[in-house]
Amino acid sequence: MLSKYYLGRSKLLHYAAASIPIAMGSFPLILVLLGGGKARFGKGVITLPEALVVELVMATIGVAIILLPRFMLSSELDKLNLRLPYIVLKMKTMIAAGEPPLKAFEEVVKDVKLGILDLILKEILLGTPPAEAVSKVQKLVGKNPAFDVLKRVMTAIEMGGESTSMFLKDEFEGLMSDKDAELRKAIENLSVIVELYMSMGVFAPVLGIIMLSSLAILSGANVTPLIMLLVFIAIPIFSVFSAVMAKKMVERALL
Amino acid sequence: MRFGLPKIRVELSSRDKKLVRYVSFSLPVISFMIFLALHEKIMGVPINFLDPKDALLISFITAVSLVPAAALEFKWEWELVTLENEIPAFLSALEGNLRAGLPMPRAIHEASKYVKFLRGRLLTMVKAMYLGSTLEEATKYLRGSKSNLLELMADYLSMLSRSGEEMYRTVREFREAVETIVSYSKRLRDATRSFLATLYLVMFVYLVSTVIFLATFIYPLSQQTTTVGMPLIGKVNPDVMTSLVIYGVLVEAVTNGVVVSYFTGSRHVSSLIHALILLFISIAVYAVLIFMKSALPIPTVSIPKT
Repeated sequence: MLSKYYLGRSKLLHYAAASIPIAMGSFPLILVLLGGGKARFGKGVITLPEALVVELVMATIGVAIILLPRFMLSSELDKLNLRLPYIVLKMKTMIAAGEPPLKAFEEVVKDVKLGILDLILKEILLGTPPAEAVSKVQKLVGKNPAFDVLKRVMTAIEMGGESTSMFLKDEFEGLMSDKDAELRKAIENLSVIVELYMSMGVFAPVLGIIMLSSLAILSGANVTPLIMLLVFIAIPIFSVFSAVMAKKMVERALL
Repeated sequence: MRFGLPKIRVELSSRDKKLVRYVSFSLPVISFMIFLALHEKIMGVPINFLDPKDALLISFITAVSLVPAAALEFKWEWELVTLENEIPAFLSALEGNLRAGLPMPRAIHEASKYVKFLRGRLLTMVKAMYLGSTLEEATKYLRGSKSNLLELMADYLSMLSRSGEEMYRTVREFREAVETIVSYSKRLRDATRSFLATLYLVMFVYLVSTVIFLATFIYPLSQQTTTVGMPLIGKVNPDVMTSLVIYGVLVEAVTNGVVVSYFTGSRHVSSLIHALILLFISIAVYAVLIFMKSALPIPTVSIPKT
């Protein structure tokens, strides 16, 4: 499953690509160590602390590339968890309207566009029984509560008839009550983020502008670049950070 | 007497909306470029970004050019929420009509009378069916919005067209599930509505504190000199400070509008319209402050001679 997210779909190529920035970062560090604490780059001179910072940044990029497939997989699992009520509802609706269960699952996979579901469908189409197909994919991906729900759904598909529809109805109601609990948790977390946003994104810049200009009057320093940094860089960066956090929190409660 | 085919009104698809969105959000950049190009010709002097009047003008132009985007985002979000809220009412009416034995197109036509905002799409669908499309084909007029629920209803109706008798039974079950989702979404919106108040509070705090700071500290101090004739304010330029505060309100308004939209779980940047209202109020307040600067009561500071 992870191989889908490796660069060029090859583990070897992925790790080779990740080692490039680490190696590039170590180059100035080695030169500095060999040069007795200093290394010359064109007209500039680089010292040990600067070389260490460069290596740290490049190593972080390398590690990020190594961890990227795991991150992508975990984000896909998150999406699967978020969309479970919708998946179950769609299947239930289609089965109730007369669609065969497996066809309904195929439609859902097409609609939701998640690699994990694609893999389960592929296994089913290759002849694996539905519940077993979920277990197979779970072995590849790792444990996650979403697989338990999917296994139950697949077992219901195997049952067929009226009981499948009844089971999916109960499953949907159960998932919706879980969502209610998620909503309460999301609102609590959001309140904390809102407070953080208010204090760091708004009150802090106002305080910063007032303090910086007052101190500049006393010390005679030029604070215009600092205030510009605050207005044009700090506020937008903090806002983006808050927006990303809020999106993550609210997404848990959305359907 | 005029005869003709009924008109089919097609709503904007999500792809068209994306295009309109790109255009509307690029308006501030376009208008800023035009402003830069025409400033010297109109004003007779080159632009000075750290002049409060130019800062005010730039903020005003940005705010005005953001109005179409903010209005559209607000409208689309409102339409989406209203459409989703109407789905259970439509399904309930559809269930009744099917129970009464009406054929599907007629049942949808009659049920559309119980809804207001969904009616356009439903009537288009019905017209397409009267013109010869199958129900499955006609459901395309329900698609293309950002609503999963509407997509699901379209899927359900196209499934229904393939199934046989006693359709009303499945309609009831589907309606119950949709009602659960709609009431859940309502609860989510109600719970996050208070975050919109954050936007107003935040902008109000920024506006009041900066206006007080400029009017009672920076401006009076800029007019005082020490005994040796040096300005008491030092290297702080009141005009530069005012400009930066104005840019600050612009950045705060736009970012707050976006952030609060995420806080409220909107599918569009619908809170931008509230941010723009506050931005216009802020611009008006700063304009009064700048143009009435000379009328401000300046306290006299007596510095004892040493």
